[in-house]
Amino acid sequence: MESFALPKLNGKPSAAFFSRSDRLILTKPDSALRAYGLWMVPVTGRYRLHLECDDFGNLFLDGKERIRLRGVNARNTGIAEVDLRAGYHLLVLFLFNGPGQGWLTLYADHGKGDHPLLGGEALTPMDLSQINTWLRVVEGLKTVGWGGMLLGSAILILLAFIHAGASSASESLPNEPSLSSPMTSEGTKKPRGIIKKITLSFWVVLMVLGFLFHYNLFQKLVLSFPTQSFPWPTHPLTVFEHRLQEIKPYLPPRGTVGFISDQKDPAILFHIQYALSPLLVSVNTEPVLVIGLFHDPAVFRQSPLLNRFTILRDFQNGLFLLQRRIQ
Amino acid sequence: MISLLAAYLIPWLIGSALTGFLFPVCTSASVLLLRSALALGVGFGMTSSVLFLWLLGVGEVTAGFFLLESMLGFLSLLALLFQKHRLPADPPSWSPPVSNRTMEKKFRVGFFLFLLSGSAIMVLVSLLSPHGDWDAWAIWNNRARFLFRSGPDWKASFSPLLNWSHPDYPLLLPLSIARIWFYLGRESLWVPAVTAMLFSVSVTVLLVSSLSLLRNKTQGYWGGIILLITPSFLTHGVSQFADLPLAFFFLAVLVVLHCSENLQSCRSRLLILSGLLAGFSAWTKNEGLLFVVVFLLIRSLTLFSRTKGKESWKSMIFTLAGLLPVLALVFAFKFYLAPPNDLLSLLRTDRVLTHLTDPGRYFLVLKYFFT
Repeated sequence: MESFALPKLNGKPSAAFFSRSDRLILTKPDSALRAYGLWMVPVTGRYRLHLECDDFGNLFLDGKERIRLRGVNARNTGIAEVDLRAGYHLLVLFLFNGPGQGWLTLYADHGKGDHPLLGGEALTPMDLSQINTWLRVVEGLKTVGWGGMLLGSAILILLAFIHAGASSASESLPNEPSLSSPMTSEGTKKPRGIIKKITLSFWVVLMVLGFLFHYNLFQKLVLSFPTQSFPWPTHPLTVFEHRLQEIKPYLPPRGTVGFISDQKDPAILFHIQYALSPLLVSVNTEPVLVIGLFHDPAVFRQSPLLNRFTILRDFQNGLFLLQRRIQ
Repeated sequence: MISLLAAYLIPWLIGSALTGFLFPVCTSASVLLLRSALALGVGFGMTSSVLFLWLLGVGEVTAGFFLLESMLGFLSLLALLFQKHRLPADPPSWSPPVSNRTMEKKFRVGFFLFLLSGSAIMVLVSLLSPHGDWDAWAIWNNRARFLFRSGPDWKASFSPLLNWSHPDYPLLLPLSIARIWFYLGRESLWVPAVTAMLFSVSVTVLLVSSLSLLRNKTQGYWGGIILLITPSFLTHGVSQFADLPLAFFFLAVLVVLHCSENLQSCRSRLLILSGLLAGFSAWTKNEGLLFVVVFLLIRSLTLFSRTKGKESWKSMIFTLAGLLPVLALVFAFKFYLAPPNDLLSLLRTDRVLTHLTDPGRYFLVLKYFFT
């Protein structure tokens, strides 16, 4: 595992170590973690992977992203089903932590129920002692490769347009009004055969790459489709829309309400505001009516914060309608 | 269904009539395609401006607004029919340069195949993110919801409590979405997605038709193919951000300016159209305001360096004639409704100067640009 001081995976990790725990934990806020492991799959077949994390997490298996979690809940869940051959498979996990503590767990199910993968015997840690060197080499090759491709493409595009301009000049009729530049209407030298062949080859290669990209993207999108019905009940915005349906009848249609929560993620306020508009939602608790959203309602009921509010209604899912006590 | 049709048809009619008047050339399919692509952006710009003025004057959307738009749509239809039947004495002709027919056919097939698969991909991306990406729901669709749901209290959309959603951003996109919701009588997740797709397709058609006219058809199809295989265009184009409409207006201004250089007989009208499109870019996003400043600066430099005296001033006046009405709308919004920009309000002159003169920051940008 490698941990990073910022919620990004750039640069040198702040720490690298082996872990045998059944969950990955980040105690430091605004940090990130990257974990590698080799999963020894005992039997060929279909496996159901179940990832849970707080805050954001990714799961890559054999280089392909299988689960990507970006939800705003304190517990984000994702499931992927994959067909695997018996043998070793590269597992890479990313965890991005915002405020508070972050964690990640991973379960695998091959028809016998979920069992934790992390900390289990099926997972072999990878020796990361040389990983940074290898990653630097790969990054370097990527830069050189991209730079060379960009330069080569620019030259070929230029040649292609020269060829096309010359072709149109040689094909256009003498009396045809043309809006191309005066230089081409006077005629240019015909391009050599080899340039024509290079540019044609370039365009063929580009079209083939384009089709491959479209096919790859199309396939990725189709595979990402949730199994639920539209508009995807687990989409964070849909989750908040449904969750706040209960409280809406008790709120005024317009004006301002306050908002308090034990969850520090500012995105939660934005989601609530989006769901409740045109009602304005303010983190300032000066408004008389206040919406409370708590991951652990029991903690809120015991906190001194409750001295400032009267609970008007408890919606039983961490959602409260509160009234500010006027002192 | 009829209300949805009217909601999209009226802007297109208004845009087509105005574009037809300001771009009175129709001698080839490429020109007609170019005008159609421009019509969508002009139409959305005009109808969002009308809705804004209506809200400022009347205070909420009433039956009178729909009557007004229907009248504008009807007048535009009449104008289109009138333009079609009344031929000018000496119609400006514009035939695109001829390219190799065989190559053109091959690339045309390739382009349409990419357009088909690209459209399918855009539909899938829209289905997967029905609310759009972060900025789409946090800024643009959020504003549209406020405008639609607030009724007479629509000015609450610009409350400082919503600073995180940039309430100072101009309103072309939110008003266009809210306008269609008003026609439907309810909100629909499809409206922002369809609007985003229409702008994406319009950018593609605009690029292909303009390259076909200004170079040749083969190059037009090449340009379209390169755009359709650009990864971020397909995925970001339907993210429901305002970036695609902004890119549309930027491209449209450059295309129309280029056309004005080559069609002297209707140059003045095309300059008005270029000014109008530049104004709509400022009505779409704050970056459009910067574009307007740069556009006017470069335009002045090129005009006054190439031609002197009356001709240059005349060209600038025609450009400003198209730009100023929309710019007046933008400034009215900025000065009377929008709160200060949350990003700019944190800036101080000394801090800006320090950042501008720090070479390390430029190096950092270059480093991340190439890695």
